Amino acid sequence: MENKKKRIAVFQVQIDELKSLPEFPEYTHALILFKYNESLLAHKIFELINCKVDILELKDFVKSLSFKLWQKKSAELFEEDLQETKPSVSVIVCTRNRTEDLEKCLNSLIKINYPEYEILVIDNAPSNSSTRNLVRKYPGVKYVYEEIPGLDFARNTGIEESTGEIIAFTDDDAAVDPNWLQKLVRNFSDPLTAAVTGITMPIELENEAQIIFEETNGFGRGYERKEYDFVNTNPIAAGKIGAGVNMAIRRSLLSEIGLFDEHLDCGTLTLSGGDQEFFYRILKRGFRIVYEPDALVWHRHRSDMQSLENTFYSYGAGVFAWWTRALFKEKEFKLIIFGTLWFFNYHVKNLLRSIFKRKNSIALNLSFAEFRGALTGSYRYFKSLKDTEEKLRLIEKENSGSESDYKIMNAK
Amino acid sequence: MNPYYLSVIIPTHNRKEQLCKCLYSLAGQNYPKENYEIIVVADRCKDGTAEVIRAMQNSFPVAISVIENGAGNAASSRNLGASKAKGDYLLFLDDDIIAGKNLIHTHLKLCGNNKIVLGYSKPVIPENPTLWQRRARRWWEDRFYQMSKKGYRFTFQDFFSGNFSIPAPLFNKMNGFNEFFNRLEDYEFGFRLIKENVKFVFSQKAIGYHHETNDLKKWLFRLRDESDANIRMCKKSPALKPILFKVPYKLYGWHKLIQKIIRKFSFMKNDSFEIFQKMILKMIALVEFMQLNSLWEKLTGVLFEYNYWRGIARSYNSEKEFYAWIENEKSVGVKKDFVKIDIKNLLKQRSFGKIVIPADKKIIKLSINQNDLIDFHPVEGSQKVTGDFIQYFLKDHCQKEFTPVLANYILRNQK
Repeated sequence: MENKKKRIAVFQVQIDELKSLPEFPEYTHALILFKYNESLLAHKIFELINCKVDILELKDFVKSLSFKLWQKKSAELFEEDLQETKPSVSVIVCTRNRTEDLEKCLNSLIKINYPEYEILVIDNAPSNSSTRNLVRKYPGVKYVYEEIPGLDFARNTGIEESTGEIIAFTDDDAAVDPNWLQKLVRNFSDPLTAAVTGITMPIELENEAQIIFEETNGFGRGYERKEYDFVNTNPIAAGKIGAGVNMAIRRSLLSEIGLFDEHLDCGTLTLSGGDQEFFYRILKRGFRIVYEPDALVWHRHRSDMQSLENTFYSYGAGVFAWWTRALFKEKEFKLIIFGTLWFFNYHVKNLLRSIFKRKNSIALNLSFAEFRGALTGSYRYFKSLKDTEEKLRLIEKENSGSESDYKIMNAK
Repeated sequence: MNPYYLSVIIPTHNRKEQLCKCLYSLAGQNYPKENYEIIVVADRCKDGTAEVIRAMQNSFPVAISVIENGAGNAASSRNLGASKAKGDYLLFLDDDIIAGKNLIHTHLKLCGNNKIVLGYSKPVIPENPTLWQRRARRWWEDRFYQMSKKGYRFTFQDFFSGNFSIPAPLFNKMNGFNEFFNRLEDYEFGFRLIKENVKFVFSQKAIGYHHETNDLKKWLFRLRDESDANIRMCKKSPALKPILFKVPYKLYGWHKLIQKIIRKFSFMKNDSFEIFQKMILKMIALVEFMQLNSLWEKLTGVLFEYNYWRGIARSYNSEKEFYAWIENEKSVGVKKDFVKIDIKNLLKQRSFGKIVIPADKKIIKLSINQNDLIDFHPVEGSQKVTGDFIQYFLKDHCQKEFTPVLANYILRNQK
């Protein structure tokens, strides 16, 4: 077993059809996601014996789900076809030079089970026109070009260009479940709900990098529906609520919450944190965020070690970048204490654990990357402020010089 | 549609500008203008409200009149307005509500003989709201959201006088609001209506935008009237005691000590706590600036406790005396007769609307195949259980916990 490389097959199965569980040749483990009709029950990673899941282990686990299953089954007895008003929805995918992934994403998006929705692809400062050519193949999909690099620039452009009452976001390296939108949107019946996040599972766990990412930074947030607001959650801990890969927001509340902060997230120096900062502001303004465990998105994790290390670095940097913003722009003074405590209790501790190779500690290069990121986060935010200003000035100059210049450049 | 004549009654007190905004929103309604009138009741107004309205009377697109009242009491203003109203239906609106375009239309669409239509007063808070205002918005929105759910069981505490309509004959039959109440006169009225088996309907389309102008200080001060009104209500109908004065959590250690000290202050004859109250209010402002929410909660809790008990101290001299009154005649009206309803067939046909609920107050025992499922007790001041309520209650209930009787039913059906 030791010399065989760890590979985990990902498989979803209806709980009534466990007999149909196939063999998984060439895999060492299997991640099984148990479903009951449209709702998710739980997942577990099983060790494979002769390419098969051990029946006894499977039985034991399914038994532990029985209470939950009965709850769902008995709630069904009282279900009624409610003629809910379904608001119009815009689905926004921000992308940059990842045409292959985007194609898979779009293929899943056009199969969504929802009466009225539009899809927008925001092409963020691309180096070639392959994304544009790809989107041409999909008649219903709107292509929007955003010249300024930065994920939050792209998101805000998407919000401006779209029309739906609800705006759903997903990433270009993700694929959505057909019921995804319906499950997300039904939570907006509460007028205080400003955002809904959903569950995100790995689409594949083929190599070490993907497995480590799922174990340490996976997007799974459990299988219970949760409501977060400023009474039960501290807004500065907004990171636990979800991520931009699987979220929907309500347009009418944006005037009070504000748009995404364009100095944050990928494409800028701060590398990440834009979605978390947005969740923070939602909570702080007194609105609610719902975590909906039935809204499923599949995410393809990066598969090489170098980009895994970069991800760790960017997560460390992103958190401290948006905390710096909260401290200075929202006057969140308690972050001075909380941020310091977090730095020592989380980053320094993780680093020490990796150095001394404690149980369940992550590899040293990863925790060191996260540690370095955390150290530079605040500096990166201030630098990003200046940097973004410069970018805007440059682009303005370019535009006023000759409007068609960059279009020609783009066509090349 | 049958064009009813509607009277909109707006009690107001020294809020000329707010009132004018409200009136203009009423002039732009999506309803024929000759079919409704507006009656403003100016209660002890010193800012010239009455003059302003008299001046615009001729040019205003809707029939408008003003009555002056000197009682300083919202209940009496509403009664006075209703006594001068010509409408088949009365719509009571607060002066700080800006009506949505379809407000009157929706009220009249849903109205009926023995029915109250409750409108949706959507809270709007100022641009830089305080923490209290954010929490108040949350409280209001949650209340209305619960009411908008299908199968909601209305209680007298859902009756808000800021935006509701009532048939004029019903209002007169009930003798209007009770003028003995300074605060919570709406709860008291709602309580009497529910006793008469009047149906409550809530609609999100009957929207008015309620501009929140209150703040922590005003709210704290009002609390005294609130607890006082609660006592008055309990004196009228003792069965409300356990609902309005819930058995408090038992506190231990520091919390108990602090509670004891605060209550001592509440029952003092003089206002010696006022200095501390001012100090704590200053502290709360600082804590709010530092955004320390849990500390904010604790400090406001202290002031809540003080002011609430200050209101109780108007009628009682000590905590002991108050609790003696609460305990006394508490066990009045415990009935043990019940009706059994078997929902097996209803489950099969999915027709919960058809459940026949007995008119008199009885415990309702639901069962499947003779297995007891759940009991519904009549609650003082709450509406009768309906089929829709049972359906949605059970749906929520079995999502929270495992219900063996239902599992048994499902297993049997599978065979």
